Amino acid sequence: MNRAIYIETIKKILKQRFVVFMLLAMGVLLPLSLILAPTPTVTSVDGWDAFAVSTIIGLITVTATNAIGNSLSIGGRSDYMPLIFTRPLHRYQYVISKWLALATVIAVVSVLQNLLFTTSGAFTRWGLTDEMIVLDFFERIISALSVSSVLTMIYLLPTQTMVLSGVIAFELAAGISILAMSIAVPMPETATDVSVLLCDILGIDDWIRTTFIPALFGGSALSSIQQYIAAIINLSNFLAPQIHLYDILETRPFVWSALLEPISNILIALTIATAVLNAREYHYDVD
Amino acid sequence: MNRQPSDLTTAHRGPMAGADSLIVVENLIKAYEGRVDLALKGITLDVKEGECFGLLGPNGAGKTTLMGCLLGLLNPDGGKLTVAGLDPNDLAVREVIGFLPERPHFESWFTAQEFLTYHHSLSGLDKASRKTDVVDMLKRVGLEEAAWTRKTNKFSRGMLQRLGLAQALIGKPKIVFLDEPGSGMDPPGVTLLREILLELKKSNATIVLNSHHLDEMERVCDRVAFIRNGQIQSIKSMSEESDYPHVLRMRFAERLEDQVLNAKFASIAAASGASILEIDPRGARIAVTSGQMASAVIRMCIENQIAVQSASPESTSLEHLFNEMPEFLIGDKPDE
Repeated sequence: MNRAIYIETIKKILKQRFVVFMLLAMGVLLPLSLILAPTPTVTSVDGWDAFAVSTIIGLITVTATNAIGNSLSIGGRSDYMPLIFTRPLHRYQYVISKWLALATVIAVVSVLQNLLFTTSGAFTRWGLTDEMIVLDFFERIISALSVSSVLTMIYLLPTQTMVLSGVIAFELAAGISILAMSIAVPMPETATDVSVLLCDILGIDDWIRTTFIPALFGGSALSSIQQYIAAIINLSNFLAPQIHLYDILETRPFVWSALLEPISNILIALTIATAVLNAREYHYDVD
Repeated sequence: MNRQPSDLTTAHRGPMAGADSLIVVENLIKAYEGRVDLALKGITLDVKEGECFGLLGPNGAGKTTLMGCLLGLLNPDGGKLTVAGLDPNDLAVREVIGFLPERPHFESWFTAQEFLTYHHSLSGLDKASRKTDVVDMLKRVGLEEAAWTRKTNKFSRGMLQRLGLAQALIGKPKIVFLDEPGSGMDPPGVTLLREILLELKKSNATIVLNSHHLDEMERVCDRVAFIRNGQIQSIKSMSEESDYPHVLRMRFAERLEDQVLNAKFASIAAASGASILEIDPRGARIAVTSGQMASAVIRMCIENQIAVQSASPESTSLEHLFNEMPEFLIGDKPDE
């Protein structure tokens, strides 16, 4: 990792007012709204909290600041990358620094949410055990690392590929209900199995599903869209697999593959990002 | 494994290069996707340690492509390219190079000071000297103190160029690649650039300079490669090119009567072999075939009591060389 690039990338993210506002909203206001809500409307779905939160934060951060590649990702010429790549650093160091910087921001906000849930007693109220709470912190960090690696890879791809990947990223976000303005919060159903419930924050999710989509596309559209979203959720799980630490630790016999999956995906994403950087040429100007 | 920068002086330097060649390019070929013509068609050259080497040619000639390959930013499709015997992408090479692109683009959220601090850090230099080095460099390139804390997106073209130059030099490079360094600079900036280039030469830094400013090249370059259509037309040594036919422009300190002046110059021309192109009481334009003939004309003028205030060639030797190759003056190719 290159310390200078890591620090400057974090600074760059934090210099964007819109991003800081969104990060604060995600890190503080959203958890507070859930904590203070007397009886939140809750629907049970298969989703994932840390992954969803991390992805949303990651997408907001990257798309708003273009923190990973900046002009690198939007064209070959007239950018500042040649100045960086004539410095004594390996290109993988650049990738690692950008990835860790993004993961740091996402993890901090994500962990901040958990801290608020924990200190306010919300987690305990929702029935999470101490072990679950502690593991959830780790899950959020792993999710941040995982999501950041995918986003880093996407934003270092050449322009044409990035457009396609951007669509995938968008779908990834859609797949976790970002369009419905919802956030997933973990809720235990039994002592050995953590299921996840989706809390509808402003009733928008419910309104879109029951009123907006049927009105726009007809009654049958809803099930089609739900199938489509389910496919996208599978795709996003493939890109950045979810990890359920509590389940992994409770399952007997112990399943190593569940731990290896996110690690291998992070490695694959970062390897592709580095390979792309190594293969690319950097035209700094016209001749 | 990374080699140390000191290895640069001891590494193998390639079979074609002379013992003191630092940069060796052999039969370099570069193609661009979607372009039928090759951008570089077998470029061969070498740059010696401590030398200032100029790249000259029309737009689209391949100068910037060549520089991109030398910097490891572009991947050649054929040929060989080494810097002190190492691949240009070797970290040991990058530790000792500085680079200024023609139109430097900076991260706009940086102030000038932050930007230089960032690049000082990327260069891997000692953190203890960072603040001092940055301030010294900002002063050296003549950026006003008020601009140090200003964001770079508020900078004028000339200021950006100065900051770009500071960025290129902040890592204390031994090899400097400069692409149109004087572009957009005001006259004091151009003078400062010249001083910095001469200082670099004095410190035995190797310079690769790409410029359209012939006078700038003339003053600092030891050798110049003329590139056109991806090929080197010729490489000229500036020291060997001082003796060339040119027009000597003379100014007189005292006004002489026309008849006296004409008579004196007729005898000077007859004795030296020079041709009088133009003459009036304030000055004259004399066509000479060599530096020696120019020197003889000036000496005879003084001997004939003509008070010569100044005498200089109308065109530089590079202009002369440029004019000798008419293919350089026509048919600029479109930019790559």
